[in-house]
Amino acid sequence: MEQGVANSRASAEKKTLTREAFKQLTQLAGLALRDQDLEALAPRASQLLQSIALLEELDLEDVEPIFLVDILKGE
Amino acid sequence: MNTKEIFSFSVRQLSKAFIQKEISPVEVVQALLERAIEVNPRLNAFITVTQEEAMRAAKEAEAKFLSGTVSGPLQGVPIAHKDIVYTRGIRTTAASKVYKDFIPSYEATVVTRLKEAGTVLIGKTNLHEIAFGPTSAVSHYGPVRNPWNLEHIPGGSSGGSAAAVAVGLGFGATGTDTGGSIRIPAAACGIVGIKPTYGRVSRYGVMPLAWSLDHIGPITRNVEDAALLLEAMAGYDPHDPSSSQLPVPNYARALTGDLKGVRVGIPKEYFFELAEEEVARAVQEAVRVLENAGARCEEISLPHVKYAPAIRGALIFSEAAAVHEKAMKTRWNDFSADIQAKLSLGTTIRAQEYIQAQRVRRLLERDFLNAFRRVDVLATPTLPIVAPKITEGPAEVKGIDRDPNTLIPFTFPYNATGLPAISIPCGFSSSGLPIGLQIGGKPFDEETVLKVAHAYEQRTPWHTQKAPLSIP
Repeated sequence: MEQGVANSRASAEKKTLTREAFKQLTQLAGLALRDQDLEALAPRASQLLQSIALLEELDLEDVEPIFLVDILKGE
Repeated sequence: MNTKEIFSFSVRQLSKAFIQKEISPVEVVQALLERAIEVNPRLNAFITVTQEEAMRAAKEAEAKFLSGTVSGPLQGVPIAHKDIVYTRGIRTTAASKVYKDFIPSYEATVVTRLKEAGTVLIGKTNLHEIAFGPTSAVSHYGPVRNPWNLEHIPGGSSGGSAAAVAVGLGFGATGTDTGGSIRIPAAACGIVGIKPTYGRVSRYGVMPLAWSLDHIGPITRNVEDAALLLEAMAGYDPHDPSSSQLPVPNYARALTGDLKGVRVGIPKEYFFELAEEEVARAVQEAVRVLENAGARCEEISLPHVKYAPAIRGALIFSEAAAVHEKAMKTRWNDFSADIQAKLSLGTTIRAQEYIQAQRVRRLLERDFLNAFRRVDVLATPTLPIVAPKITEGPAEVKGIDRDPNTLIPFTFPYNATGLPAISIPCGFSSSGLPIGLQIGGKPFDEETVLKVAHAYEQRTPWHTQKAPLSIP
């Protein structure tokens, strides 16, 4: 388990998005960002992806996603 | 009656003054409109002041008082709506250049319900552009300022609603809350804000930011006013697919002041570890007040709460990018740089990451529901810090990113789980800025949340403190 956590932390740290990859993703979304924005935002995108990658350290076997908060089912 | 007295009245006090004919709804609206002219240029709380609509509704309310056909305690009570809440025929800008000319052809369910309860709309409040940020410093109409110190943010995204209510420019206002946008500005401005359970208040006619996380609720100067407004806003709405059919209780009746037998949980991890010392101290003192009032306090564990920021990152950014996809393609340059940055980040999140976040969201929900088997409410700080300066940049304190754009670590868990939570004032920092106490509860148990908040309020002086700008 601890090894798994260590691996996922290492993988989170590796999740960097290059300026070029960020450009491609935003282009796919129909955006044409200026060079200066790509430069400034690519590191922020990496930071966001790294923070999300922390979720990889969890064992999610048998855990189904929530699509609408379950509390509504109580009715 | 001196009309200046009314700026600090509660809804009950105002209603009583109307019934006893000490003041009329028209006089109150006139006084508020004059006060708005004086104060709003400094606060920037309103984008639109609906002068004509307010006078028309006030005259209608006056006629009801004269004819004895009053609908309830909200009759003639002036309120404001956050400017992403659709008002038919009145522009709804979302504080964005993109939507600056948008005039809705229909109104939000909460607008209809509050109108039916007799409220008078006095204006549309400023916010963090498209409700995507917790500072309210980013708006096409300029930053909103904190009435306790104009150099500081009022919190957001419902910053205009909170700033207006804090200085008496309205007796309540609507707010929306996707990551904390009702509770954050309530805490930063020293007032009350409640985010009800997901499904309790209709989202119909409110510009979404992230469908699975958006909530609507009231911002007021005290807990009883929050109970009255929430009751008027809540209830089933067939226009909102997530709307609950559970009946709406009489929330004000739950405000007994008695806490005997109420069990209060104090999370042992995350919240108090990350809060700044004077914030943590104020909230710990608030917990002692609850104990002295008869509540039983015990430590509880929320093992997955530390993943809340990661869940937020995956969900809010991608849902917001989906909500605004069309405008991103057609009006990109009309978004501010702040919003362009956030929306573009939303395009980089993979579907797998979104789904994984939804799976961890379930673990978080289980943590909270497990905790609520042992306790009735949870008490935590609302914010890790007090409101930063408008110009303050990112900083890291005690290992947490204190970028004003990430003020939401303590409020977001309640968006992810859909559970109800309120923020009430519980003290001031050495710099004179308000500190908020957050009380969260079980699904659809807003009654207990309000009851505990009210009992605390009755035993402390914080809600009676007035922001310097609120004194005429």
